[in-house]
Amino acid sequence: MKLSRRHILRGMVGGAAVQVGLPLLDVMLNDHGTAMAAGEPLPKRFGVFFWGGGIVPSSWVPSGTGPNFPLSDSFQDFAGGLKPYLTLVTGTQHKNSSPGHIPSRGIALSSSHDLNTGVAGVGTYRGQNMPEPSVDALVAEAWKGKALLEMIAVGICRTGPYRSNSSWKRGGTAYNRHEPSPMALWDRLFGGGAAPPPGGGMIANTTAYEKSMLDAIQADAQSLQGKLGRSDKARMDQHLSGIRALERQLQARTSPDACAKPGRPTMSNFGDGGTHEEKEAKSQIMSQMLAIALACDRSRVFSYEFSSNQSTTFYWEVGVNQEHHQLTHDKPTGTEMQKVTRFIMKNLAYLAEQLRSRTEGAGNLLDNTLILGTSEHATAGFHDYKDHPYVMVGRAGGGLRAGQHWRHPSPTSNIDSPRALLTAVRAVGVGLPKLGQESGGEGGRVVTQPISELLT
Amino acid sequence: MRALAFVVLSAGCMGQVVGGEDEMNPGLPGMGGSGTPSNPMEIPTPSDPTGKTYAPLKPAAATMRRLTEQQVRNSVADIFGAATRITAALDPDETSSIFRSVGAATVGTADSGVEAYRNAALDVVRQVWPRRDQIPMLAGCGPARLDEPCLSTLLRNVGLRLWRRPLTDEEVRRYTAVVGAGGTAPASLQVGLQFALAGMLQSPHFLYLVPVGEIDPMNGARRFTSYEMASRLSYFILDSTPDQALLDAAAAGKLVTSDGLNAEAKRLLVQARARGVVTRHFSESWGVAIMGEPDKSKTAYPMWNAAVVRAYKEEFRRVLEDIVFDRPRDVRGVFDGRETFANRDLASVYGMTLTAPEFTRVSLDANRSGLFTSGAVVAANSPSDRTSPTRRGAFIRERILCQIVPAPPPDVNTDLPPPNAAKPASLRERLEQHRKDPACTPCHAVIDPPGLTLENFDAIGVFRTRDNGSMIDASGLVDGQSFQNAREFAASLKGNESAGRCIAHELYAQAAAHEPTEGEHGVIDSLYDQVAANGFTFQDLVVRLVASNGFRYFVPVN
Repeated sequence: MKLSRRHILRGMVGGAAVQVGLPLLDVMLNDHGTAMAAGEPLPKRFGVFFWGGGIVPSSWVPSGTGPNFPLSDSFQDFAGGLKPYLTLVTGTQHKNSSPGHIPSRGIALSSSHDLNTGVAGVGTYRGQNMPEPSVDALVAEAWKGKALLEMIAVGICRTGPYRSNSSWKRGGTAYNRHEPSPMALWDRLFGGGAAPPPGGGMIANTTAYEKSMLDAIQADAQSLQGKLGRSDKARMDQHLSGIRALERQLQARTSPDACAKPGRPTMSNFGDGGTHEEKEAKSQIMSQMLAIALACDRSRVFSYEFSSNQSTTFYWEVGVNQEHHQLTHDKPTGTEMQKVTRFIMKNLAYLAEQLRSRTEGAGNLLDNTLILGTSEHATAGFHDYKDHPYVMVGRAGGGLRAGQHWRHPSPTSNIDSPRALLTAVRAVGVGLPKLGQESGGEGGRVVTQPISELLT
Repeated sequence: MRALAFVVLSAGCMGQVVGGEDEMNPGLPGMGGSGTPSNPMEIPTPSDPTGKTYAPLKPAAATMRRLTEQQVRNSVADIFGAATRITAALDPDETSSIFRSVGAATVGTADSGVEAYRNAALDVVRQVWPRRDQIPMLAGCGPARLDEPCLSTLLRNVGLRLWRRPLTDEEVRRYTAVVGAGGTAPASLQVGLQFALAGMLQSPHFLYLVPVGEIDPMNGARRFTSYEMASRLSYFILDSTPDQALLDAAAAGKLVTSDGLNAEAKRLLVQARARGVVTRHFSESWGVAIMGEPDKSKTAYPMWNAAVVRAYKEEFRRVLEDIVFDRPRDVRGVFDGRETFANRDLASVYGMTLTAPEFTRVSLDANRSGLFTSGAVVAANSPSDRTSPTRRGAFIRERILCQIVPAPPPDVNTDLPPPNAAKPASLRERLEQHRKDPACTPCHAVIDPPGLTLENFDAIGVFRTRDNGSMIDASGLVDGQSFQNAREFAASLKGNESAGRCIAHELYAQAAAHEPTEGEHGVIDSLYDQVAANGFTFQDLVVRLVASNGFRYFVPVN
């Protein structure tokens, strides 16, 4: 298919309905490749890379700060071309140490967690409530409607009791499900939905039916709204928002799509799903697809859950014979933990390299992206936040002074970790005045000051 | 603010969430910031036959519940035939709240989840359409014209089953419009009908149980409607949608009375599908549901494999169903039963000799007791390559005795001293060193002893007498009573009032889909007394629970 620049621009000017889902092609850029031809800047992308089980501060924190910092053990795989894209925030802490892994990922990703209003009892049912969205969902909220999909969420490790709860929308109960299957991810991103609609063969174009079907479901949901309490109303609103997203996908179906789709993956080796779960090969396939999807503007936000909080996967790749959660408690700072952390960062480096290798305008996709990596704890065996890990990769479209190690001037006496979240959000141009929510004793905290040294 | 006030068991370490008159349960049943109940009405709890009185019910708030993954799958299979299988993944259940039903009362659905429901609905219609003539409510209606009466009848009949209540005229019109969305030629209508069915399958009316309720004219309190009760009853007992008879009972208004609920619960309990109610309960409560083959190190436990996990779960299910359905008896036999069911895989782990390869009823050896020492329960509550008396103790305190165990205080070093090759020590001895730390003593002195009674069972549930060379000492002093081993301790649980109340409390939580509030404790106390006085059978508990006021009334949240 050949697309003229004019053709696409006409489509974009023609209205929001066809604006979504278009690939970001060179034909859409100005002659210098520095901005969209219509004058808009190149879009920024934001993603969270989450892993469970924390880090080992001694192997994580580089020995020097500033732009020429030496790579620590954890980041050896960023040597070379990725180094200028790597930014580390260290020496920060969250307000309190928390009761455990699940609340901690709430604090690490949203600076909000509230056990007091959770449905469940303290200690008995451990229901969770994060009043603020995870930082990726916060950005998705701000960028709603800019791309076809609000968010792409992928998950690598399947082992652990709390899979796929590292990305949640406002209100804290609607999780962006991390797609664990490379094939299903391809179907969603490049296959036009999981399966052809019914009625196949009888009617060539089913769009009118699908539209009508979604209208009816929306009317059903709206008819319930007046009967619901406040929290249920918010839950129903989230559901409605998902139905509207399906409508946008329907509309986008009629738009030209010049995305160079990858072939559908056929991963057959997932390891044994347990003690020898296949992680690296799967992570690589997911990273490849994610990079293409971001380049094609399928979405501008992603959540990459390498492993869940309290993950119980076995890192057999680096010779560990214990499930990870137990390892964190049995040998919180040992060499095995250090090897695991480096292995996880190697997978982050692979994802970053996929983005860096895709040209976009005068630079590459990683130039226009910010990936924020974090875990629920620092030293997970102690359930602590001391030197909480925040790693950023990418230049955020010039919004971040990337390629340096920023260490807090008072590394043992601050509660500034949430500022790393606010810094990342501001770097991609989301002008939130504050982030987080105070909560009694649980570690959530409102911050208003980003780390200004890292912002342009 | 949630006020925490518990019966203090040990120097500020633990509390009790159930039982006892001096108990104070944390305040409001608020669901994630949903506001406060607006109608603090009290409904008397009937006194028991001996005249013992109970605190009145202050109904709890109810929020909408999303069907669990399994409930969606079961419902579709029950409505459209067992061959109907959703192959795609659905939005996962929220499992961080122990019971899936409790998680379902708070979980929301993001875009990807809505997409998954869309895909599943289309998948179901693709499977059902070719065999629609074998499904009475779909058979015999082409339709040839949009205003054919058979079409609205079809939509009403399907809607009644999917949405568990009659459709309004407006809803019928809404979905008739979908049928006609692509034109009125017969072929177009057939395609449209498929999309209408897919739409009803994605509707919030199908995916959520929404508490709307009505005012009970007898006392002015808000109760669930007869149709809402049909769903509550059915999803609790069958984990699936109400059958036609239950919907008929709902239509006749029979499900707003205790008698009507009692009768329907008894009817449902004789169905084969009801047998899952007990396994669902204990496997979620005791962690067996989320236990799997990936959980253990095969280096540490070479005999651990998928067949063993299957055998463990099968043993667990068979014992429970035997106690509850096949030879109904005191459900506290889960603690002190002397029999189990074993196949060859299980026998090899348990060190039994079995003549038959398939599951047969066998006696437990002298070391084991009920399901308490079963492979499923022990493995589900142990780490991957060693035992943990602390984790097991916390499990016993929290899930069997309904006591609250706090998480470790901030920043404590949970790193046990590594085994010293020159001076071998059992885990118990190493833990004792750890407990000398004054920051750890108050809690570990309470948490560890019940867990230590299980030290004769390794992390996959194999009986052993030595740990790292030392003879295992499985004795312990728990709440003032001393025990020599797991069997003695388990036997004591049968007569332990906390353990008995805990079963009633936990089942109530699962059925009502929220942690019981203080205002519901009178109902739970009454349930416990009645069930305990009548042989403590699980079926009796289910029937009394669903017929209780606590299960029937709620307050709306603002």
